[in-house]
Amino acid sequence: MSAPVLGTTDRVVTPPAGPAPMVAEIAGGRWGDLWRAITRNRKAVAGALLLLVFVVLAIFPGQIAPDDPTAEIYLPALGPSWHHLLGTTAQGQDIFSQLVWGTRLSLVIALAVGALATALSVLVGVSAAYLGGIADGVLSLITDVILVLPIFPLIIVIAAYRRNSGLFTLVVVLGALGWSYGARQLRSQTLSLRTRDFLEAARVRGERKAYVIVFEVLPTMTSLIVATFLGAALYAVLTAAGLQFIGLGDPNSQSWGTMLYWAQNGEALFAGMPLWAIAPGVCIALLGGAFALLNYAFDEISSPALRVRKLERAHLPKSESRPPGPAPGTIAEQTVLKVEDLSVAYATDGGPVIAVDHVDFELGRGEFLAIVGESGCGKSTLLYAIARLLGSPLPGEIIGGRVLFQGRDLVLLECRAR
Amino acid sequence: MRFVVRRLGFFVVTLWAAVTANFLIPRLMPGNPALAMMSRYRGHINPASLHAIEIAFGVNNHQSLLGAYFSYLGNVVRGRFGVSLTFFPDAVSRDVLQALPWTLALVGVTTILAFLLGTLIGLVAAWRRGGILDSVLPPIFVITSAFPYFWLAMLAIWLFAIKLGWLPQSGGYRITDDVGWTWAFVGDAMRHSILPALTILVTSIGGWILTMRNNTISVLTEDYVRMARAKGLSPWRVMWTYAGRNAILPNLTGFAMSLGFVVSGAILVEFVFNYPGVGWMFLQSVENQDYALMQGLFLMIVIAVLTAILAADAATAMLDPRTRDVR
Repeated sequence: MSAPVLGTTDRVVTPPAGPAPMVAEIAGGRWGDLWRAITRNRKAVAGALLLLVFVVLAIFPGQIAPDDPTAEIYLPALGPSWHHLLGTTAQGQDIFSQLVWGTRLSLVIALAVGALATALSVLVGVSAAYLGGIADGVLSLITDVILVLPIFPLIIVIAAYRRNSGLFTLVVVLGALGWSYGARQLRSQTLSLRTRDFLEAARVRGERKAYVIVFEVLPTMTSLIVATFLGAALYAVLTAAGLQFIGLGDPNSQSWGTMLYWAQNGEALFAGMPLWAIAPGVCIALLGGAFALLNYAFDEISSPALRVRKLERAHLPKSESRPPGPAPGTIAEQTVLKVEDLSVAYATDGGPVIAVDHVDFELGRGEFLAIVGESGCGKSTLLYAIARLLGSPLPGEIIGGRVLFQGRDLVLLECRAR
Repeated sequence: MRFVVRRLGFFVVTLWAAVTANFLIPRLMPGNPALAMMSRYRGHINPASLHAIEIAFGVNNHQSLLGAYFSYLGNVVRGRFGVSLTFFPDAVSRDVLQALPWTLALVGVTTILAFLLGTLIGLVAAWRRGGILDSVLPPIFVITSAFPYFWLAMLAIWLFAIKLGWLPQSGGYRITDDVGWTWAFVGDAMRHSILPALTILVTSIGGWILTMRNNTISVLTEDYVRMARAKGLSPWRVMWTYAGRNAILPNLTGFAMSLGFVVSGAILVEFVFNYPGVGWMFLQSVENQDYALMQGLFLMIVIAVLTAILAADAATAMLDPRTRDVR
């Protein structure tokens, strides 16, 4: 069942049908919620599908492109045809086959660097925040220095001294230099968690620091850790491709960056073989795009304010018909503010939630009115609605009723007259 | 004032880290390429350039590592990076200064333009949530931010220079030009810079748009923005002086972090376009194993990035009084 996510804004949760969702249920179904949030986000689905395609290509290249990618056995510089979907290179190699076989290295680099950089980010970021004091100062300084140093030129310098070094060196160097951004974010997230009740409780229980970090702190930061991984993977795809393109990768390995290196050397664009240069770039952009889309989607999932939600009016409960109130202008002279039958709904992932449900009151000149209620019952929402402060970025909307201020209906007022 | 001192201190520490990395990397590598190179060149090149390699690597006099490190530091401080092999017998510092204006003009102007444009578009997109701008641009720029710079540069050359023939395909100016401050030369240099500039702009603007949009959205939920709207201020005023001014602060900090990425991309763009800037020269030196020039250029890039970050810090301090007071 769907559970509306409780935000910081006061509201009464009046689900349209069924029993009221419990907060405990949301906390318990964290993974389920994450899964549901991902499948509901179009950017996340697109990114995941793209990634899946590349994973399949990387695992079964031989089934998809039986041609040997290195064999120089065809006529050079052929155009696209049924035999050679993307034509051949100046050396007579099949471009499509090279593309498919090149997927594996690019993907392995992305995942390995992503994993290594994320592990370092978590290690440095969380321990800096949790240890505090001098340790925090030193770790933060190192993080900041690596963060602002131009990493790519530094990697080029290293690669220039260690030409044609293997995959392992590449992954270690990229990972060792690519963790700082994530570490910084994880540190500030951990700092903001430190004073939360559940961590205080763990401390009072006398749990060891390591236990608290692994079993209490890390699970609450799942989405940020995933985002760190995706960001590092994107960085790895682009940086590795750049290195291979300028000839600092292993020129005999099969990868998209190396293809571009040979395409540039063979002047593919000038010699009428544009596909040789275009196709590998498209693959790099798509693999990078898959990580970027997933990353963006995770950003939206972890901070719901970033999403645009449309209020699904069809799902609102039918309001029982009430006798219409007196027409504007017929209200008593001394009444300043008259709220009639006012209802406000919020759009949430679980469908609309009605926060203010058919509220009526009247306020005369010089009169005081106290609105009392428990936290989250809709007091603020009611006042926001009266002042017409709902709407972007809050997903609240007035779905019925009138607000008469000195006889004028504020709900119907145009934007400018407000 | 404390803030400025702290940032200057950070600047010095980072610079020191870069210089030290520059010194240590050749030494940590197995096989010591410095010595290998010296033995390769001994007898083939004149004593001046041999001395240059010695200065660059600090391998003369059989000093101890620490002694070599300090003499290296001394040389760096005095701007002595040795003699370039690629552009022999130029001093490295001379070559670097020659390439610098090209990169500053191209990458500097493009980065500032991308930052301003991206920030503006991000602000407007967030202000009109769900509008045309907001629903079309963010997904597009999420994708373009994953484009390899050098690949887009290749595509730009193919389309605009080869297929359409509108713009020159490489170089910073025509070889026949006389280099100088004449209208003809400046105009020609501008024409040559359009394609590289567009490439950098397209790939870097997406990041600014997305971060500014997200910043603005979270700022819009703040009470002071709601207060401004409740007071009945014009939407224009709320957008600029309440939401925009506060949302741009994290973006300025982000400027510092993303700059390294833009500079990296720009190196590859210069390489593809044969643009006579620092990046192109840097890759030339890598290709020719001209380690003295390479290390000098690397330090130049670090200094340029750090200076830009310092400028962004100063701007943050001016716009946000909180950073000036804290600690």
